[in-house]
Amino acid sequence: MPARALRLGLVVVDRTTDALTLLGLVAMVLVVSWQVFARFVLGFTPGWASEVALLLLCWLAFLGIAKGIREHSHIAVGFVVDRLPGILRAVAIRIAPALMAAFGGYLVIQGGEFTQLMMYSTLPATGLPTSVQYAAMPVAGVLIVVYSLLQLFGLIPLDPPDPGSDAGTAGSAPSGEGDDR
Amino acid sequence: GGAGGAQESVTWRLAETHPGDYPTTKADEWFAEELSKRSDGRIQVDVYPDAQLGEERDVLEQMQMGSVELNRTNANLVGEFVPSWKAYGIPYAFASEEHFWNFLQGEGGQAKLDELSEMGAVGLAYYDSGARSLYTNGKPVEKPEDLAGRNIRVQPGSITAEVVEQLGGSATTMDFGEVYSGIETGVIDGAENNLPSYVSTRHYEVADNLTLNEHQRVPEVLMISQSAMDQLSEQDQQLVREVAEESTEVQRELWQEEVTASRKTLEDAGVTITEVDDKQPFEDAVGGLKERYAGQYGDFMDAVEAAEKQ
Amino acid sequence: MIDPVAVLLLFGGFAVLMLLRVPVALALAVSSIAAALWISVPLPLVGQKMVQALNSFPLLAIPFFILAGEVMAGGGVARRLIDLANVFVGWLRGGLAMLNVVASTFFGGISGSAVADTSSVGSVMLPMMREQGYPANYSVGVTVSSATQGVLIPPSHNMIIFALAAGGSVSIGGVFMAGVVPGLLIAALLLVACYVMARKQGHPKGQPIPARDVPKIVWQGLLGLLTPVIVIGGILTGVFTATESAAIACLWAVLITFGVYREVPLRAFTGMLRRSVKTLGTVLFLIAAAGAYGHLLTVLQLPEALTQALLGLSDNAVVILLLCNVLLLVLGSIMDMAPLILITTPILLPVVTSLGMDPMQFGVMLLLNLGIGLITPPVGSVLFVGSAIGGIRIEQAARGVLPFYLPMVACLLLVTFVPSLSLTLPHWLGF
Ligand code: NA
Ligand code: NA
Repeated sequence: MPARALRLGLVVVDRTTDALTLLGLVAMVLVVSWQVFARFVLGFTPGWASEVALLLLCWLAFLGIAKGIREHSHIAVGFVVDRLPGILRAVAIRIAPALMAAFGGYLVIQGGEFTQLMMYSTLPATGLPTSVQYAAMPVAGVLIVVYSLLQLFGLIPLDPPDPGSDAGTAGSAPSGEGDDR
Repeated sequence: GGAGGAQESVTWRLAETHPGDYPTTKADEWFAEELSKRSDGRIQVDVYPDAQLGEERDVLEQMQMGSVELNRTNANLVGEFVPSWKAYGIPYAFASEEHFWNFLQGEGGQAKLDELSEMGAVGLAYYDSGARSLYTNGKPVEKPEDLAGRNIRVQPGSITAEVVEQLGGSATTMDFGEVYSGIETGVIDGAENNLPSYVSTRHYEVADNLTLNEHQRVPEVLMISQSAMDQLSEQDQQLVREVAEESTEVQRELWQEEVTASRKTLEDAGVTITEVDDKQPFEDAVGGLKERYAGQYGDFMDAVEAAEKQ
Repeated sequence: MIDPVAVLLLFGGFAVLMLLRVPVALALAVSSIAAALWISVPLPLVGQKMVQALNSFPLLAIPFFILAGEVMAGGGVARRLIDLANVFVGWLRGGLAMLNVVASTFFGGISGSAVADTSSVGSVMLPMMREQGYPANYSVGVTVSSATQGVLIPPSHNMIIFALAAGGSVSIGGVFMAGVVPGLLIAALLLVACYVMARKQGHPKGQPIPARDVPKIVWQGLLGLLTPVIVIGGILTGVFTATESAAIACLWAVLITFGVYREVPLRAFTGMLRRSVKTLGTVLFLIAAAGAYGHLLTVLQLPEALTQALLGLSDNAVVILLLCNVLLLVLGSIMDMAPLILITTPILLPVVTSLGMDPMQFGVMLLLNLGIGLITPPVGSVLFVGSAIGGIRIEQAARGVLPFYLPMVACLLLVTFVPSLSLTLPHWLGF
């Protein structure tokens, strides 16, 4: 059954990005804390630490764009669209996922080309190719295309969940429009 | 456009990270004006100072992409794109300022500029960036031993990090924007740079001991992307090179004025300036390092030596 | 020579897309790509500038402070701060409302997010206030109004976003310190408002805390309050930098939540991480896209033109500053904080500095304006969360906020026209 395979594939992709981003955040905290500990207690500064933390931040940010589609967490202004009559609204709410898919395509193609161009220069501290940093664009771009197409065709809900449905949990914000953070 | 043909006018962007009143920026402006004048307006250059287009590394990437045509950057950074340029970081490679400029304006310097083709660029001219020296908070540094156990901020991944370690200090990498408060609060004990930057960053307010040990002389370079250069006719390409070469003289003069003014600012502020008349102890401490890099960059060191004999 | 089509693509394109419910960050990125196409700069530029906007070490403090806030919010620190505040103001007439304000002040020293403050303090306080017979509109009003202090009282990731948007000309530590006095001033003015309202509407009195409970309440509350002390103390004593302090704040939050309070199981940490990553995804996308957008504005040489246009409106500094406030309040009522910080700072900062305003003071003024926007319809994320937790409609919540505009706007005017209010503390500390 293709629908079932699709759903299973989606679960795998979701879980993988989830695991990678959560681990990335933990790793960032540990790397910067290690930098403090090494300098203050051990008397040396690991030069790679801040560079690695920034690489993780870059990857986290781009994967986070994809996750944000899945979770409806990107900040958007809905009060105009929500006042449109039925058919107009139905068209209008599809503009965002369509544009997001196009943006994902941009990241894959243009970001991919630029990543290749950056294969011959190196990052100062780790000596890794600069493309390690820029590769976040095409990789996340693929996920962004997938998620936004699924959303465009209704396999991921087009509308954000009811605001406040998870607001009772301490520290969490309602999804969709209006998150100051 | 196209070489030799009737050429339309071009408008280029020149990226500069320093503020408008800095010697390199003023030289960029001179270059832009003179080029426009002498090409009868065929070549327009807009200077973007103050890192408006991005930091140096960011701009080098943009030049490779083609969104910036010209930029002025430090040779240290070029090493991340053209590895052989790391050689400019070798400590005490040049015996004096005169030796340094003999090299840059001779065959050796030109050979290095030619290497920029590896990153799709044409090297146009060198600008002065003086010599880099140490500055610290607390006890003045008179000899390498005085650095023992002290955290000195260096650019990440530079040979300077190894220089500081060889001198007995602890090389610390830190975001440039955090250096001032880092010295003030004691996270680090000092940093290293040339005189005008020491003054313009106001680091002398918190690290008031300057040691003129002059461990490195790393030039600035003005470059243009190959694809931009290819838009010009043969004569205009020659004109760009000529004007750039002349701008070096303008910049060097401005640089000297800036160094004198900086020195006065420091003296007025009561900064302790330690002259190092005998640099031998410092040179000895980094001798092994210099040897190792001399092996790695043999051609460079041969050319440097040749320039000394001139 | 400004290219009108490129300007239209950047400003008009962005505005139209945003009104069509296109995420703000995506609208920034797409209008940047469109403008780049039009002026024929190489297209990868937008992506490159997005990555470079993220390539800044001080930016790392943002994920760390967000995570620390999530851990403290989810791990029971909010309830302990409320208990602590109760010791001070709980027994007064209208005491629960005042308690709400003081708890938010404490919480503001831990989190930089008014949304986190509203949801964590609100979810404990609103049921308590309902039980004691406070009107629901008023309860939500006081919860959301007091939550806006969180963005002014350090640490605050929104202040870091401001310091970065200001282009490195302001120190993060300096902006942090500049927010302290105005943040406390809002708290004081809100307390006065609560007292006046309690007299007028006859709000209930609270219960005094039994003396034997006080030591434990104070101890547990102070552990949470130590977070800002560690952050600021560590910076001032040179153990770590402002950015590094944020990572240490995370470790501390995890330590007291799972080592001392032990109210939630360790596996709850995954949820805290997940919520942080979710917030981060939106904030970092905005920062990246605003980086590309700002670059195109620079290439088109627009910021300078806009600054000149604004300065040309009047030659009276007071008028221009009032105009800036009105502009920010209006924008704040329709858009959220992070994108507005990123979009308006490069345009307004040169205007106010040319009038002699210190960038740190401007930062406080900007955040206060946008903070008021968070509780102002039509779009107010904090208002939305507050009404959701309070179980009332947004219109009702908005009515509950009304009495608190007076103290907040009063504070805004003081911040705008009395520089020493913001600047004395940072100057005294050497920033
Ligand atoms: Na805060
Ligand atoms: Na609002």
